[in-house]
Amino acid sequence: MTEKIEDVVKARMYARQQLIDGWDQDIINEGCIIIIGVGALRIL
Amino acid sequence: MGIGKLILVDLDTIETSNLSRQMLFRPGDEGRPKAEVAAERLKEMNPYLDIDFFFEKLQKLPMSVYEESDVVVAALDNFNARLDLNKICLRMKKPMVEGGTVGFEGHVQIVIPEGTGLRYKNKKNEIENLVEARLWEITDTEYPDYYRAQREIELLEEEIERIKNARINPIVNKIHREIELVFDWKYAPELLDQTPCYRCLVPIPPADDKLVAACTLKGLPRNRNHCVIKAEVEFEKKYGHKPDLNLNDEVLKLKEIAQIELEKLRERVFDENVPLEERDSLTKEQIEDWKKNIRETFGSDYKFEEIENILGNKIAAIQTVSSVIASVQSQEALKLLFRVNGRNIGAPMDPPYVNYNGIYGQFDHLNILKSDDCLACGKIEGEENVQIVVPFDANVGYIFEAMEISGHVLDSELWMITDPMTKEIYWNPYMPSLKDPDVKLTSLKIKSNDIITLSPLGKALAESEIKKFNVVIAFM
Repeated sequence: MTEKIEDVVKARMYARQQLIDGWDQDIINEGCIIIIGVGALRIL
Repeated sequence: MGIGKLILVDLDTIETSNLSRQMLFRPGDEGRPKAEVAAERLKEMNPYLDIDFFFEKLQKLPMSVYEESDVVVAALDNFNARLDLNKICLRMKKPMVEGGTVGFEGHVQIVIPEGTGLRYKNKKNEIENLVEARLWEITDTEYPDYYRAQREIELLEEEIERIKNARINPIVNKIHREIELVFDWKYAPELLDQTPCYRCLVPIPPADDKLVAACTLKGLPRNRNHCVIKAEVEFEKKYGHKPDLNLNDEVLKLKEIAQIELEKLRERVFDENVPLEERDSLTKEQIEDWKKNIRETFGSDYKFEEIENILGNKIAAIQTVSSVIASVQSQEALKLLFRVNGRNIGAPMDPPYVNYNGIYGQFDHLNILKSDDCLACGKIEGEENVQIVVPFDANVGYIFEAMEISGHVLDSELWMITDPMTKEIYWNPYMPSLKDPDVKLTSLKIKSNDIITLSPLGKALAESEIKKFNVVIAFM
């Protein structure tokens, strides 16, 4: 079965992190993170 | 790293001073929404990312946006926004990774709300802590032999090990077993599944910047920051609009006005310290010395960049520290993302708070504690703590004004002000004798950092979610 070029490029991009014990790229792909604030992190 | 979806939220637009520290922005982006530009740049770096952005206040976001998210990263620049986001995360049961920096220092705090089901601490250690605490509590009558044994240990040091094994450890083991038996239902939810929240660490948020500005305008400027705040108002009077700090010529005009205010301040201080009748007896050099001292005390003439720093209440910030803190936040968010989805690639940091000092290159983990009195996650309901800044000559009526500036609009006809310790009533709208808005706070013997209580009456008692404001008064 031939893989889509897009999937191959994606797989290459994320190749190294998949060597980490317990890593599951599918979980990351399905995950959603919200970042509130895109600028400074000041605390005072 | 291919997070499926990122949602970026920010109400700000890009300013020139952001370009040296916020790496996703470039010259030419000034004036554009930060969230939009950041989304654009991240998409350039990784076209497979699904990114949404909101040029919106976090408080105005639909709850469905939070609901959709597995992890919330707080990358904010003020206390109140952090407190609001903390509240939302507690309510939505979303883990939050909070971060902040000031100059060469920064911190990251993980907040795991009750009910997320995320295990974050080591069960064995927590049982040990409870056993230890229980041992301090047991009484002579409960375990008399334990006490006798302790005394014998002091006398018979050489026999410590033998006595421990024979008479201490059995009791320890018994308590251990007792705690272990009930741990999962009695202690685990609090000890394993949640952390202190952000509000636990900030029980009384510092006064709103707007209050400081309001106080400054009520009196004469008394320091170089006051002069710039005053100059902003003078600018608006003169040109009919607030100065745009992104426009160089407007900042220059503002600087000129602030400089005039600073000169007036220097003159006032000179007049107060060197009365007219004394001046004749002073030499030219002595007068120059006075003026030099005043100049040193209140600072030199304004520099261009100082104006925006003062008006924006800006603090020191540097890209290196922001990068360290953002990296720690990202790492924690990643572990939580896996954990939320049932996979463990590492526990969240424990203790859940780390401080970073860039000067010493040092990370310190702080064992922060959950507060039972916390107004966000604790047992107290219907209370709020507020700090207000008031001018020295403020009166009782100003308290309601200051509360309004702090975001709490209270009808003075429906709220009572009392001293929480003595119960003395400072304001009662139902009693004409206690309803004088012009009474000075100082005449009521209220000092800086004293606490007063505001309680609702009548309709407000029924309608207000907050049944008690604990207000810390700081004189300015």
